[in-house]
Formats: sequence, C-alpha cells, structure tokens
Amino acid sequence: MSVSTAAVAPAAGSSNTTNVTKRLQKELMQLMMSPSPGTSAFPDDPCNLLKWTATIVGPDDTYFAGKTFKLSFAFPGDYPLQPPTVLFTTPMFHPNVDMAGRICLDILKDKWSAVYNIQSILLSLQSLLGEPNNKSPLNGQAAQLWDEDPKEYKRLLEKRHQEAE
Amino acid sequence: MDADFPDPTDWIPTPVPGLQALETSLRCQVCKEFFTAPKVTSCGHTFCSLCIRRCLSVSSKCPTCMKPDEEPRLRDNVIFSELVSSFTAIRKQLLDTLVKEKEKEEARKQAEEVAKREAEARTRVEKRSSGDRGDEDEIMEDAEPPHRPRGKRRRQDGVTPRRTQEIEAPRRSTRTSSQRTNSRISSQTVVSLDSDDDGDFQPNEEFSDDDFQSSARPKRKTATRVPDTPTKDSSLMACPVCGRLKDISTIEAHANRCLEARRSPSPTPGVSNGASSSSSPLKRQPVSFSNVSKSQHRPPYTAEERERLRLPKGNASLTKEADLRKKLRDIGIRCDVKGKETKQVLWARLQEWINIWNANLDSDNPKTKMALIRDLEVYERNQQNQKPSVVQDKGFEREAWSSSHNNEFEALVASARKSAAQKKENAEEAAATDRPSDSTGVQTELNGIGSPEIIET
Repeated sequence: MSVSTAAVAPAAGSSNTTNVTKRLQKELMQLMMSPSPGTSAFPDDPCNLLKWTATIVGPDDTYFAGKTFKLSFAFPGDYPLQPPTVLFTTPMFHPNVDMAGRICLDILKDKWSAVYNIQSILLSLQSLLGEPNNKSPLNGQAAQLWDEDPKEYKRLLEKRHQEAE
Repeated sequence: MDADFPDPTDWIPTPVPGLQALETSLRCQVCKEFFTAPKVTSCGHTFCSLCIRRCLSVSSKCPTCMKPDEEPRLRDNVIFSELVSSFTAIRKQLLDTLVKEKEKEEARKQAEEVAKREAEARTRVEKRSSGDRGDEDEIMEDAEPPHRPRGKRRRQDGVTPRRTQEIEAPRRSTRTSSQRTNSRISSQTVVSLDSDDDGDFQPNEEFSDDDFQSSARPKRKTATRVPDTPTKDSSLMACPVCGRLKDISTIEAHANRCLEARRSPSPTPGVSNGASSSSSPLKRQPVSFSNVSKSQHRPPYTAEERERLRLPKGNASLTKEADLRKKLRDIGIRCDVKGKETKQVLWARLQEWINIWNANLDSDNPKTKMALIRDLEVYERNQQNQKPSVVQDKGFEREAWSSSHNNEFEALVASARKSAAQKKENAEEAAATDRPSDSTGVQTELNGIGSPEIIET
C-alpha cells in the first residue's frame, strides 16, 4: 500500500456510492426538510456519511427538561440491516446509559428493524429519557435513585451535565 | 453528493405538499428508493425484492411489524410496480409543472397586490376630489378584496385533491384501463383539467389532508388485498433442504426425499432441488447472456421460469464447507483456495448471492450473471469497508479504505513536510557548526518523508 493508491482512490471511491450512503442521503434530506421538534442530526463530514452527530432536547416534565444532549452515530456497512452504534457524547446520568455513554435500548440491539431510521431512534431515545427501563439498568445507582430519591438524582444529573460545559 | 437527488421532500414546497406522502408510500422503507420488483409479505407490507430478502436472511421477521415471515411466502405486488413505473415516468414533469404553477401564482399575487394598491390610491384620490362621503366606504373597500380571492380558492380546493390523480391518470389509464376507478377519474380529467387550469389555488391544511387520504388510503387497501394466498398457505412450511413450501403433513417425507436426493450421486432433476437447482440457472445463463449482447435488454422471466430458476436458501448445518466452496466456485464467485475464509463467511456469501439472484429474477430488467457477481463483490467490499476489525490481508479493500482516509493521509503528509522543513532548518543550523555528523541525519529524515511506508506506519 502506498500513497499513490491514496491519490488515485477518490476517483475509484466515487463509484462506491453504496446503498448505505444512498439511504443516509435520503434520511438527511428528510431530517432537513421536516425535522421533528427537539431533535437534530447531521453528518460530521459531508464526505463520510457514516458518522453523524445528533442532539436531543430533554422532554418537558422530566429531569432532563431543557437540557440538550449530544449523541454520536456510527453506521455499519450493512445499515439498515444492522443498527447504528449510538452513544451519548454528553455526560449522562440515566438508568439505561452507562458512564461511557453506551445505551441499553432494545431497538438498537435485538429489536432493530431495517425500517427504523435516525429520526425514529432519536424519538425513541427522547422517550427513553422520560421512561427508563429500570429493570435492566446499565447504571445501577441511577436506577435506584430514580425510584427512591428524585432529589439526589436531580443533583447528580446536574453535576454530570455540568461536566459538559 | 449528487446534485440531482430525487426525494419525497421535493414536494413540500410545491402547491401540493401532500404528494410527499404519496411518494413516500411508493418507496421501500428499507432502502428509501422507489420499489424495485416489489414483494409483499404475508402480513401485507411491501418492500423491494432484494431488500426484504436481505432482511429476512438477517432475521425472519417483517421489518415493519415484526411478524415472522419466510422468503418463500413472498408474493409479487403487481399493482405497486405499475404505480411506481407510472409515477416515476411523470415525476419530473409533474414537479416542473407544479413549480411553474407556483411561480405563476406568485407572480399573479404580486400583480394583484400592485393593482389593489393602485386601485386604492385611485379611490382615495377620487374620494378626496368628490368630497368626504364617510369612512364606512373605505372600510368596505379594504375588507372586500381579501374576501374575494379566498372564496375563489375555496371553490377550487374542492377540485384540487383530484388534480394529482388527474395529471397521473392519462398515463396510468393506458396501463390499467380495466380499473373502474381510473376510467371514472380520467373522464373527469378531461373536463376539469381544461376548465380550471389557472393554477389559482393555495396549499392549505384541509386540502393537504384530503390529498393525503385520497392518495394513501386506496393504496393500503391494494397492499393488503394481495396476500390472500399466503394466509391460505399457513399450514405450509419451507423445506429445510430445498426451501420449497410444503404442507406440514408431508414435509417430513419431502425433506427425507430431498436429503436422499442430495446424497445420491446422480440426482433426478424432479426431486433434487437442493443439489441441482444451483446448476440449472448456470446452464441457462450463457443463452441469456448472448441475448443481452444483442438487445441490451432481456425480457423479464416468466412466472414458470422464475420458479424453476429460483435458488433455495439451503441449510447451514446441512452443508459441508467443501460443498460450499465448490458451489461458489461453480457459480463463478471468488473464494479463496487455501481455506482461509471460514465457513461462516462462505455461507454468508452464498446467502447474499441467493438473495441477489432471486431478486434479479423478480426484476423487470434482469441483469447478467456477471453483473450480479460484480454486485455481490461490491456489496461484500462495502461491508468489510466498514468493519476495521475485519480488515486483513485478504478481504482488505485498498481503494475504498484509502479514499475514506485520504484526508488523514494528506494531513499527515502536510504535517510531516512541515516538521521536516523545520528539522531541515534546525539541521542546517546544526550542520553549520557540526557538519559531518548531522548531514546524514537530515538525509534519513528526508527519506522518511519521501517514502510513503514510513508515513503510514
């Protein structure tokens, strides 16, 4: 492998407009033309549609109201047959999100379906914020406090969220 | 990215935004493209042939409703392929017409505005000259103009929901002239298209709702109407060996026969689907290939041919690795000689080939076998491309990888050059004081920049 192949590659790469890229282009168009409130998503690099950054705003009447959370999306080569890898990049304190930002959500794992898209993931995550699944927590402390000590939960969440700034 | 990138959102700014919903339902939910060779599942959802085959090989569930389903239960969705071809045929024309109409309307509105202002100015002048007749006249005049056009719009709104179909109708009716609804619509078309062609309407809420319902509802019905056969087939089960649907009561005997046929050295063509079916399309292929070179377009397969050529999925645990290799090589698909690739990889490759092959049988413009093999290679390459952990000597796709990392290379090269230049300066300074020892250092430094291997590692 040499730099000369790297220099030639862009021409060869253009024929590489894969199913994945095509589909993600369509999703981008959809998101831009009719975004759903409280969510946004955009590719990090216009040349590489396989990595996106998204934001969701915490739904009202939850601990997360008014807060904005960033997420990273990494799409596999066989998307949409396989789900993207979604991580919270903003520090998060939630029963189903671990300290590294990994998310435990069925539709991102075994319940994934090829008809889901970025928008539906963001909406699911938004509702996950308000209704965590406390039965299978990734963050045990958060799950416990969520049920037992809302005040302490709120305090820790604020503390975590301030780490972002 | 392509500049020309048709998408359902194209309709949002037009006077008929409801067409977005129409186009969305003419597109596959998996690939978001217009349906290619649409297939309907036994639960009534429609997908491209290839998309649903790929989905079902990942998990045997309908992607939309998660109901269990199997490949042999898929049925053609004939009406959808007609809808797609007639819609895509007129799409550009329709979009252009609607955009023009909107521009016309905006121009007209501006003209009206100007005229109104002029008229107001004139009446004021007249009033002033004829003496004060009171304010109520002025109020009346102000209030009236907004009323009039609105009334006009309302009236036409009653007509507009039909309009989208009207524009489609003349073409569609040639295809499906037997359909009652179409003939009714097209008879109205002639009258209304000519009579209210002014384009003097505005998109508003109630209208777009109407349009959505009129476009979406009947289609859903057609989608659910098709899978009558699969529900009747619910006592059927796919044979684990050949993949054919058989009645549950006879499946065991059938599977035994299939297995028997696989074992016997010279299988009879009637029973031995598992063993012989992979070779039958191969025999046919050269013939069709020569057809293509003549006409560039081969007529789609007949239903009978399709059934005959259809490849069964087989069963992973019943297939030996050596057989897999032989099968792939017989088809002409690349697979390594030394046995580096695991059975899993080979199996996945064969499954994808079967998906591509079977979907191609459903297509209106079937591709040649060579083209399909290329498709398979591209598909695999793109998959590997995204999994850096799999990147190894064999499956590693240089071009794709280097194109996606080209920026990083360039940045690295640039920074290397920069630091090299700096070091060179430093070295020259040093060389001024201590020439013999340092000059060699500079030399190696420069060599490092020149040779790409060092930059990469």
